[in-house]
Amino acid sequence: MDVGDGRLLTRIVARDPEALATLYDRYRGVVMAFALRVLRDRAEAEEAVVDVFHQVWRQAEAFDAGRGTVGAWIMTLCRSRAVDRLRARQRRDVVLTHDADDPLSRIASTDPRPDEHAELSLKKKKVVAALAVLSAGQREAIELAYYDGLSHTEIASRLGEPLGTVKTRIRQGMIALRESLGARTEA
Amino acid sequence: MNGRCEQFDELLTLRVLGSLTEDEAARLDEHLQSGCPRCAAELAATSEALGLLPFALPEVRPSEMAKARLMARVRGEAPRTSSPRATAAWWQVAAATLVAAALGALGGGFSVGRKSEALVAALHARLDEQSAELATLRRQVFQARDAVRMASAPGVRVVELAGQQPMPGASARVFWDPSSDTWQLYAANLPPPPAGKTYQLWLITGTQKISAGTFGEGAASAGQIRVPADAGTVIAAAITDEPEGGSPQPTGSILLLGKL
Repeated sequence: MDVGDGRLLTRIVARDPEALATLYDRYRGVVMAFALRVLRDRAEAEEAVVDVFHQVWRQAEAFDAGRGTVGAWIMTLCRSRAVDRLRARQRRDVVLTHDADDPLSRIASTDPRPDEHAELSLKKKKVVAALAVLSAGQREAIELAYYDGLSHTEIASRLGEPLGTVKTRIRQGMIALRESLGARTEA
Repeated sequence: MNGRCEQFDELLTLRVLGSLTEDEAARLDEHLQSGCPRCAAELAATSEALGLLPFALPEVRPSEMAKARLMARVRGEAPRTSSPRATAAWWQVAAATLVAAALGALGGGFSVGRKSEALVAALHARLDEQSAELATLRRQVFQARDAVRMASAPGVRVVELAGQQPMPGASARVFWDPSSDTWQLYAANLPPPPAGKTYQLWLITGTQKISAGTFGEGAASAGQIRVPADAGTVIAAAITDEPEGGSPQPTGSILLLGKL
């Protein structure tokens, strides 16, 4: 059977590159999907994926099992790396005129054969089900904040909604998401 | 843990999303550092819930190069902690020993050593990041320049290639500029060619299959092709897998195909 994430992390702390390789193979599909969703550029998303796992290698000691799962920790690292890159790119956009809706960026589509890993596909099902509980508006607002790194004010102007409405949606969406995830993970 | 705690809920979400203003961050930190268990737990739960969101995305596989780069970086680093010490000149060792002894006498040796080690590690990490970023930027500038030139040149033909039986999920877009005899290709979901094989792009006329050259992995490739005047009209483009170095005429299976 598979070695658990926690064990892999222990081996990574002990400087075992094979453990990092195993963890990489396990999460690469999700991390890449995440980075690509944020950055919408395949080359840059791959750079971010490498950075994320390099950070896992360097900071494995900092992971605190009491505060959450390894998967969520990796996603937290990924989000900050990807959003940092996104913001850096927005700052230099003047030069490159990179368009996030560039069809060339978008032809990098999804993997038809996702990595097989029983625990992950179970997790995937749970999250998809939990997201289905949210209203379209709540989901949209949360995704704009999470994936596009927008502040509440930026989301409000993007959606043409009052700031208060956006705040309420995110807040209620988060409550619903957590309830739904909590109910499902404990079940 | 008091009634005021709920006012921090919004800030906790913003903290996880990384969009706190400085004032808000200071306010929240002050509260968290006061040791409020309720808000610490809330922060962890919010972070965990948001950290699960990406699992709902359809997975995308990075290229094999990404893993190779990661492992090279990691393996290249392993000796870093020990080798500078091993190769240090005697006077460096002596000086370090003296300094350490002096600091040790002051009771601060350990933490200073740890701090400078952490600083060196942080600087290394930063350097790595910046070199990587520079390389990405450089590549993007070239790609963007070429892409703009290609997409805006008059007479450029665009071909959409769809994955065939062996890899139905693959797709590619080829820009072919007959006036400069150049092409560019942007591929998606095209796995790296198997060992000993390469991909080869062909332009197909009613009578001929003309090689446009080979390419390996990576989302973007470019090359040159000259279609002879007597070859007839180009009606399609195809990608096959061929032995390394390519073939004069296609021998492998047609992996992607598109009509002009």
